[in-house]
Amino acid sequence: MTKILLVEDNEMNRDMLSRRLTRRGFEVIFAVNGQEGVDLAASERPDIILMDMSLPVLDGWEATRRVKADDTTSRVPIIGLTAHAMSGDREKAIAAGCDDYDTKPVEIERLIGKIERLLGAPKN
Amino acid sequence: MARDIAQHEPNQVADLRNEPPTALNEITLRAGYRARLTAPLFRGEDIVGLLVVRRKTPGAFAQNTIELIKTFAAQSTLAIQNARLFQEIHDKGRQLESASQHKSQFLANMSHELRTPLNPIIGYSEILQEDVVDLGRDKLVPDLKKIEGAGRHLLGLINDILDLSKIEAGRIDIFLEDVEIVPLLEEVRTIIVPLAEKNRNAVEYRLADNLGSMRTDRTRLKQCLLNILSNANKFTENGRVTLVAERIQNGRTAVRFAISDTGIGMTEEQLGRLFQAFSQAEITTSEKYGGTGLGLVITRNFCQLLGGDVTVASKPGEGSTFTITLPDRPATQPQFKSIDAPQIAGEMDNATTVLVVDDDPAARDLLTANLKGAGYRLIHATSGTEALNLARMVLPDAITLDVLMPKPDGWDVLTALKADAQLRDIPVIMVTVLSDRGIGLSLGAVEVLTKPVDRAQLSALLHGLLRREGPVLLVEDDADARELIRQSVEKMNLAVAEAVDGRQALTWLDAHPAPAMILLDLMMPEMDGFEVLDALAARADWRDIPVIVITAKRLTAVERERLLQQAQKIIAKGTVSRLDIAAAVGEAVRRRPPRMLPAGANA
Repeated sequence: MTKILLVEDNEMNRDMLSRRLTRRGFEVIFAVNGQEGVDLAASERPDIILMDMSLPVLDGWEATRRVKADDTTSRVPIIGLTAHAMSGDREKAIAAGCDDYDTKPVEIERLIGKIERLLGAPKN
Repeated sequence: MARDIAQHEPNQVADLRNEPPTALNEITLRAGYRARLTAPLFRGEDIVGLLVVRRKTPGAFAQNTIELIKTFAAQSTLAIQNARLFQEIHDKGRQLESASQHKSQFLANMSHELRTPLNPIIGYSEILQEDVVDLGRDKLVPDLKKIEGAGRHLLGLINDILDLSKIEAGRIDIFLEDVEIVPLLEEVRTIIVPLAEKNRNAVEYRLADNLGSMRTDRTRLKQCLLNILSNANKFTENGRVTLVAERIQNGRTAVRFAISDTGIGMTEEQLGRLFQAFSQAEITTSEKYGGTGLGLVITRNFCQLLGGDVTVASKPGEGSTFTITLPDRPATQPQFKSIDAPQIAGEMDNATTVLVVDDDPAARDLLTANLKGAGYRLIHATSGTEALNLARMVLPDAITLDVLMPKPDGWDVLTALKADAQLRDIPVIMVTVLSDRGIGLSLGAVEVLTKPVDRAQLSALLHGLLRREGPVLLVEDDADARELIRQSVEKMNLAVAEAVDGRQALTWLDAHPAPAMILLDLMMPEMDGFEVLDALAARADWRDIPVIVITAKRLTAVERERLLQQAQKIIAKGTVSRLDIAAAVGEAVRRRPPRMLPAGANA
């Protein structure tokens, strides 16, 4: 079963997203702030990370950078989730190291499409 | 005198010696004057001042002299009044702009607050729809869909209102990049086709072969196209929506997107009201057909911001065609509908792009308000990392950089900028804004070299910045570093004067004419670099001396902490007066050497 690490500080957002992912057969683990996200990325070895960009303790940009900077976790694809699609948000996400990004409110089919695309890609 | 003044007439005293010995008369006599002519300055019935003429020889003033003085008095009053009015207008303009900023900030905050509960409303109703289907209770789905639909509609309204208020306040930021047209249109198609199927409409694309790419704001363009296409679909049933995209040469290369439908069309009257927000026609149509009634207004505004426009042709019963025309690359700065702040003296280049780097939104707003009025195009970065990325992508004409940002802090960013060959020439103005005092504080446009100093870089900087005769004043406490730099500079046939710390530097400056340039080490004992910069800024004759700051490549944590403390100390002193940041940017851009574009960059 594909393991998704969901890094999201808002409880309702966590609940909504994880329920819809679990129903579709994914295993979902949580982190509630950026630091925890970085820690769990290393200890849990998820297949993919969904990273909310505005997080406490460590923000999503920095957490993404750290995950990508660490050799043990750098191969894990990261989808950045931002509150709204402002011009420049995509570039910011890519610049921080995200492999893709999506906007909230999440359209579940679109997000799953991105997840499957990233997981289907051969790991280099 | 009172009598004369009451009659608006000048009062003259032929010989002060014959007057009562008032203090004023005594002083005037002692200064050597004997005769006095006083003309009141009137605004209506109020005296706003006096024009006083004194003469050393006694005697009455000639009539034509008196007439001349009266004329001067009248002109002076007008001049003073005008000056006051201009100041009032200027102040009011600033106040209005500030109020407008506050309003849009309020709206932006409120919008965020309003959007937050909508996420769970939309999200959970979607989840419940899935759950009830699993439970075999499909009949409950339509009700849940209504909740979801209403939530989405509300979200659309909030987003539109926020966009509109930003447009009104002139606060829309445009993010220009090279956009491949056909892929963008395909993205739009995947969104529109499912919507079209609901109305049993066919979607047809007719794309020219040579569309290529254009320089525009990808998100806004997509928003406009989606708005027009979804309207076309909304007002059409069992019909066809067609998008034709082609390049045209209307003076400059432009791209035209023509979207036609075979729907209900519009009457002349409806056409006239089309681009007004919430006009009557829009309200009833939005009730019947859905939609927020704001989309077209926003679309037109965005098209104009991007340097183009949208036009429409329609006949009732025959459908409509909306045409978006946008320049291939905007030549002039997008027009902002902001309050006209008075133009600041100096040639302002309207296409000047400034990257504003500050993590504090309040500070960013203040800087934005100041820079917008001067007609600059602004891009924002909220962190050092974002600043570096954006600087590389956009290559702005100038950068304002907050000294006190959290890591990477302003000095890190500055050093990184100056170490990057592509970015090195962009003038960087170190600024800190104290939101409680609203003071823009600057350490000036700073060039930075890291030790060990690269001779070629030093040479390039010196030759680029030197504007006058005189030695180079080198302020550096470390003897070895000082010696090395001295040698490098002397090899360029420039004289060098030395100081071992800030205090010596200021003493030297007091005793000599201004040097051609100052090379300044930031970390010195006694008086450090910041204090020197502060002292330089405080004197009119020192303010224009170009300064190159020298720092170590990697500061230790202790040194960095010290830098921050020093910066804060200067800022806490509050002695530096309000900075005209817009003028500082203009000056910095004017002074920079002509930029060499890297190969392949867009003009």
